[in-house]
Amino acid sequence: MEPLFLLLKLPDVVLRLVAAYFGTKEKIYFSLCSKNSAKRIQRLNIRVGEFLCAIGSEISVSLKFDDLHAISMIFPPVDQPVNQYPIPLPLPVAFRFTTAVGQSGETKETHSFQNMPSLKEFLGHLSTIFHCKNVAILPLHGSEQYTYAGLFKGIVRNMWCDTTCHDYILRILSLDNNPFECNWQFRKSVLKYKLDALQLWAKTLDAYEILFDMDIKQIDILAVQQFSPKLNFFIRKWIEGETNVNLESLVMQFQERELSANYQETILSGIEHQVVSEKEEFEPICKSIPWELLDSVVAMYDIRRKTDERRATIKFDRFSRAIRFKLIVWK
Amino acid sequence: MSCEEPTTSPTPENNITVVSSDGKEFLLDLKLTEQSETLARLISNFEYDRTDVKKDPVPLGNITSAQMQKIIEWLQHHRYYPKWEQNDIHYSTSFTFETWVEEYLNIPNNEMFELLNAANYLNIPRLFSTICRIMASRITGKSAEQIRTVLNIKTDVKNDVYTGIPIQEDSSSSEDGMSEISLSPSPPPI
Repeated sequence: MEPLFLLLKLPDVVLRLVAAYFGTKEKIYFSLCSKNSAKRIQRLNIRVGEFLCAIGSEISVSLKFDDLHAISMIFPPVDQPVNQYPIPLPLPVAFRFTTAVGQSGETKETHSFQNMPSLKEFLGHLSTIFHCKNVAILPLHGSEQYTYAGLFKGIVRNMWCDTTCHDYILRILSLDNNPFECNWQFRKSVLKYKLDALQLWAKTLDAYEILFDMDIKQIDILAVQQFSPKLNFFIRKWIEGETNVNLESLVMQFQERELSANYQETILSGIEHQVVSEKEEFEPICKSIPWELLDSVVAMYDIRRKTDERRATIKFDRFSRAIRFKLIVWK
Repeated sequence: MSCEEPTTSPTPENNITVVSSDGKEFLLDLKLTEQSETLARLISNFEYDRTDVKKDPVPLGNITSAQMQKIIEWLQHHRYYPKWEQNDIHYSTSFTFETWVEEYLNIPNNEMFELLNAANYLNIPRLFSTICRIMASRITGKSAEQIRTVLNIKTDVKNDVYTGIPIQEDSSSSEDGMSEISLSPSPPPI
């Protein structure tokens, strides 16, 4: 019989280095062994910018690390219980890992995490050990079986429900072409959900129309839009305090060649504004586009909301043959 | 990486004597001690690098003669290596050890454990880091359950959430080092 290695008798500094040398998967596994081992991984101070939870017929959780290393954990669906609504999210009992893009290291592994009763707990555990406060939810085809409320409650640890939780989890909804696009219920219920950021990649959704249906702090409409005077109407409504009262930033992109020469006048028509030249630093809640990268600033205008005199800056900048419209509401 | 070792004749002026815990004396070239931060600091503090200073034997109460022999072997091999710099403290699948290191560390787990403690005590970062990396590589491919079994870590929860069966709590003594593990090669994947 091989002699025993008394790993846990080693000094803390040694254990820390051994843990640092673990692969990402092993770090996660080791952290699941006990609270103490979780703390050892947490102390390594590895940071993940965002968890991307892609919800389809199976749930995929991707973690992107600061050093661009990424892994995905895929949770296949479990046998659905009969007559249960909403359908519960799968337990993190079986998943497979994929590591960096292009590697064929995908394996299926089954585990019974005795101290992980739900996917939410599991993600909460990951957010603790990897110091991640951002969770982006990406609904895909197959997510129809869950309700949105179920998804959010099942994935995001809610600050307002748990006063003992010190972690502030950022709630980001990332929408590509998803089955809820044309669903009225989706717009009414989901976009009114208390979200921190919306990343809208979907090209078929009418961005102008859904703008009025939501009250989200950061709205990034990432698919290039057709220019419309509806944007002017939206700004006027915002000035009147009739829509998006909690908005902190809005970004839209237009193809420069498709814009008319007087697009700025169209957007600002009938709006009291003031030309400004001084650049102010703005830090978005989450960076879904390279805010700081731009070719040139086209123009900047200050506007004010009538209800509370809140100042906002409309900024047009040029980046890679696109004109970006940014509405930044200052605190 | 390997370095050509020029032949040098040791002189009494550039040696110090270290004494292991079992009383065995080892004559150590000062050049070798540069790899150990503990010894280097000690030599600097007592000015043992000066020829006019009387050099008393240095007792190393935590290190046995067998460990010292092994460490001297390491120091001799890396005598002309550049100063160690900790560049990458992350796991790498492409990381490989040179053949000499693999043979050098092809030792039973208990000896590896003692050698690591000795390397930590003498603060020889290259040796210390190499053993840590080899230890970590022996965990690779193991699942959570296997790691838990291998490291003899008991869960923290009082009841298994699936079965409701009471589970023995993870005692602090276990985590503080009372558990014993066997780092045998990885079992085949499930």
